[in-house]
Amino acid sequence: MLRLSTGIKGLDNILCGGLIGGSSVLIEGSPGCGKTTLGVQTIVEGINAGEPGLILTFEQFAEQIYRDAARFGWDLKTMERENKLRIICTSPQVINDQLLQASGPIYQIIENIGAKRILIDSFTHFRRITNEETSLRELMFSMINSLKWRGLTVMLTKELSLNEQSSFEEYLVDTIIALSYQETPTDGRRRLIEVLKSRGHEHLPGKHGFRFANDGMQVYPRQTLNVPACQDFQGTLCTGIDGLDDLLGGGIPVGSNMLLCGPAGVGKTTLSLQTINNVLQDQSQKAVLFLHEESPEHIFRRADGFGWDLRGLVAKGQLVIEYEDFAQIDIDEYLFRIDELMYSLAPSLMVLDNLFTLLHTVSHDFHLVAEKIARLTRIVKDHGCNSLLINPSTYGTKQISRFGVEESFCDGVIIMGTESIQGVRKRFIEVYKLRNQKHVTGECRMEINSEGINTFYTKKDLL
Amino acid sequence: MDLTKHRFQALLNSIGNSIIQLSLVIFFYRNQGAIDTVEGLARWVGINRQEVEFGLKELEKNGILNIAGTGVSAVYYYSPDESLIEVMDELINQLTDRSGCWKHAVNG
Repeated sequence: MLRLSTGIKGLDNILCGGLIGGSSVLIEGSPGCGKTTLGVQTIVEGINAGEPGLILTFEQFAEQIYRDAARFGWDLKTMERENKLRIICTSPQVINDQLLQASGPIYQIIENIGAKRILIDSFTHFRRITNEETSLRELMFSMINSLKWRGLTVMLTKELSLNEQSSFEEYLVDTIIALSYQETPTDGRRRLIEVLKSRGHEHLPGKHGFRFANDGMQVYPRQTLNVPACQDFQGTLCTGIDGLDDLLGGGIPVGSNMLLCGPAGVGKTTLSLQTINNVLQDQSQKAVLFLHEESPEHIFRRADGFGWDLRGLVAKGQLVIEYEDFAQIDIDEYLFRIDELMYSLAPSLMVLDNLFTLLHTVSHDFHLVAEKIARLTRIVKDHGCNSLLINPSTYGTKQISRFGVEESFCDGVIIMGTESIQGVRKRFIEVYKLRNQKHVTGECRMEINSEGINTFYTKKDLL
Repeated sequence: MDLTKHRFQALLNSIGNSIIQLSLVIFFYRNQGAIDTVEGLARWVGINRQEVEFGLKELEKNGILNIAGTGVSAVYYYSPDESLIEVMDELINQLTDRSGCWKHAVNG
């Protein structure tokens, strides 16, 4: 079975390998959600793979399509000059008349350029011919068949009105891709894509995030297609904080996700930066730091205060800092980027500051929160990395984490806190949970001094 | 350029003196893959069917468009004569202003 790439890696993953060659695809959605862009991108991908394409447009001028495509770096005019593409401004009636004949200008073009993919934008305009459902269904059936017999993969866009139920178009096509632009409870909007039907092949179910990047549409599948075999990682990663490494039983077991909980100002970020600095003293190691609140400059200054040269580590390429304002974060896109970075950089440590801001767009839905944390921790594990996931907790509460589920997905939990003893506020640290490694339980005093965090615990204390 | 100056000027005058022909020729030049009926083309250029039909016939006669089929389902498409292909850029340049809009036709 010939599989065709759409040119959108994430969508090909959702389609478990791409579209089936010679099939029919309905791309449906409300105005402005990206139906034409998806169709054009698939046509461009075909052209790049040696399959010329045809775009039939009933309302948009070719000029508009050239202009919109140029935004993504697709030079459609040149493709037309090279006889790899034709954009035809026409009417549904013409297509209906022409395609039901054995020949005619449209078929001549298909033959002349050797078109293999066709985009009909949009099928909704066929209602200009008739509004009668049975006639429209017959018309669509004939048109798709006529093109399929000539070896074309047919893509049709369809404008979706609010609350529209299943329609006949959905029964006739092999694949349905639905696009939407949904409001979120946090005053934002998310672009979502969902494969509703894929006759003859599997697909990843559910709604997946997407956005328009500089080179076209990018889709972020909410789960991975292939689950890698469970790997057995050996060894530990030292934080460089002697007492803490002792509490952990030697350090963080490789391949672990560690949740770092505590109220604001207790030292969670400091502990993370100290660990990064320590791990990267070995020049063969790399780390990545994701920030959502403090800028890299703030972090550099903070580290400078302890004598940790993070700027130097960035310059050497050992440390990558990714900063994004948390209001801009799309969780699926972010997880995709983490996965890509893990793949390209292969870091031994990832620090996320912080988990709460990452999850805020799905904070209204407990199930989504759990799903996203599960995906994040899986990514870290799959790459044999270690993570420190900073999770701010509310001061004075007994709850370890914000959502109450974070700790169950992580291999370890370190709680940091403060208490007032005779009017003096003292800090403490506790390894609350650590899978597969003997560790010391119970709270332990700690302080932040000019060299970083100091934990008042030594192995000797245990003896 | 195979086309004589005289024929080029005649073409320029014919198209430049008719807003209908001007609209149609610019539409086809910029959307060279367009294939449509009189009714469809009337929609693309936003002019009534009868006037568009006359303009299309003139452009076909002048060797800029071609026609396939007959009756209401006849379709027009851009297919300038070989001698015209090279001068179409110049023709459009003279018929449009810097912003790409058509210059006002002399006789409407």
